Amino acid sequence: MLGHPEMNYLGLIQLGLLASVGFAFLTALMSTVAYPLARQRLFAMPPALRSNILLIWLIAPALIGVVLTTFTFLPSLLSLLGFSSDHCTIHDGHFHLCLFHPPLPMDNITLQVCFVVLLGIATISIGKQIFKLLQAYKVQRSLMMASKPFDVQGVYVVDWGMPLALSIGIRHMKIFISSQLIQALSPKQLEIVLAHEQAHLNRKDSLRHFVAHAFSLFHFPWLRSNMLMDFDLATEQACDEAAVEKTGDRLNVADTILIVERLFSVSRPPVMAMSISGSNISSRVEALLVPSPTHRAVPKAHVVLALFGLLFFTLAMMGNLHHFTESALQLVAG
Amino acid sequence: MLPMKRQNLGELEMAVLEQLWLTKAGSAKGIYQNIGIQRGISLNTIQSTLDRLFKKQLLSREKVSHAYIYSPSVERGELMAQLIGDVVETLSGGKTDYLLSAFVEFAARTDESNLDRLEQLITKHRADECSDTQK
Repeated sequence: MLGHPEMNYLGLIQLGLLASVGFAFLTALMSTVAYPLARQRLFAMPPALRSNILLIWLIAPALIGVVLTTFTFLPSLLSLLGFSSDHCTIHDGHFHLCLFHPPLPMDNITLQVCFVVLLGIATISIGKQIFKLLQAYKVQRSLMMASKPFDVQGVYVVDWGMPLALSIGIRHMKIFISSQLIQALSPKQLEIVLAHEQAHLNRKDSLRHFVAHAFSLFHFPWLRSNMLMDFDLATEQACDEAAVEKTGDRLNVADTILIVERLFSVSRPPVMAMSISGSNISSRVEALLVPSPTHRAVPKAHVVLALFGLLFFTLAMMGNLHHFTESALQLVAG
Repeated sequence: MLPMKRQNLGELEMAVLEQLWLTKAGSAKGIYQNIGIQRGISLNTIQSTLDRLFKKQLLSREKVSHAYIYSPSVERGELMAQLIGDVVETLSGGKTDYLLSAFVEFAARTDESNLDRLEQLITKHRADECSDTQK
């Protein structure tokens, strides 16, 4: 199955993609078992930490797929750089992930169809995310045109008869608040709303949500949608906690959420379709009625040490990973 | 009457419109003196901005002597209503859902009885806090 040095790298790309998808699938499969078990523990964590863990978990299949596939090419890369000798001769007869001797392109029709389908799905999903980005940009632009700067820097007032308070934008996130909401809230409540929105800005939540949605495709759909819902809730709760930290009273924050929710229910325009089932208000308010979960911070040195440990372990297992991947590819596509 | 087409206006276009809403009418030179100089932009830029707004049917113009006098063909409120309408339409379609962070969600509501229950919980907690402080 070894190709010739002068031939193109199509076979290598095919195998690399297949390996990535395989690793991503395995990670997604493990997540379906692990997530329901870990969910309760996750909810016992402070929301900011929970949101970080969920973000990493959401993109884990795609990330692990790319990282492990890169590692499977390391033996070949090391020999290319002269750190080890080429071991292609011992691979006669099965697929070999080698940059020196790229394998022949696969002639398996079923796999080729699978590649085309996967490529189609990926293109559609990426297109969808780009469309959403453009829509968000348009909304931000329209709001910028229809707004005026507020007394607080970075906040814009929109002359709108709805209790609007939102932050939007990827690179230049901005906060918009409606004149109706400014009139309806007390200065303390307004401070809470702005502190919550400011927290979204500081955390770069739009970017985090874009990454979470765009790169979580490899999870099984039902798990992905549950994880994204949990991620949304963790994000909102993290910003509620930031508002508590800034304004000092958990019950005031809970109260403000209810007040804005009631205002919104009363003054929403008929064009706006609403669902009663998807609201996270109850979870947010109830979380504010109990003290924030505490978590002993792991020292940075321990995190760095653990990352180095993981790196050395992966390097030590590099050969095994390389051969395991080749054998698995042979099994699937051989 | 506002053209049906969705308006995409740049920051300078908006500033020119704001100026014309304020003065009711004006020439390129007048607008340049009012907003162009302080922004450090040329008269040509103002002229092409006015031309773009005219082509978008947001301004009307009349030739007086050798210069055009521009005046707004839409009311400020009318344009704002269209912009906000576009935003409501996009938000209600859920197209941007995760790319904006609203203080309360746009497309999901909690029913009244649940809000009452939460309010009672807050009141109870506040009362508990007060009695704890008094002790």
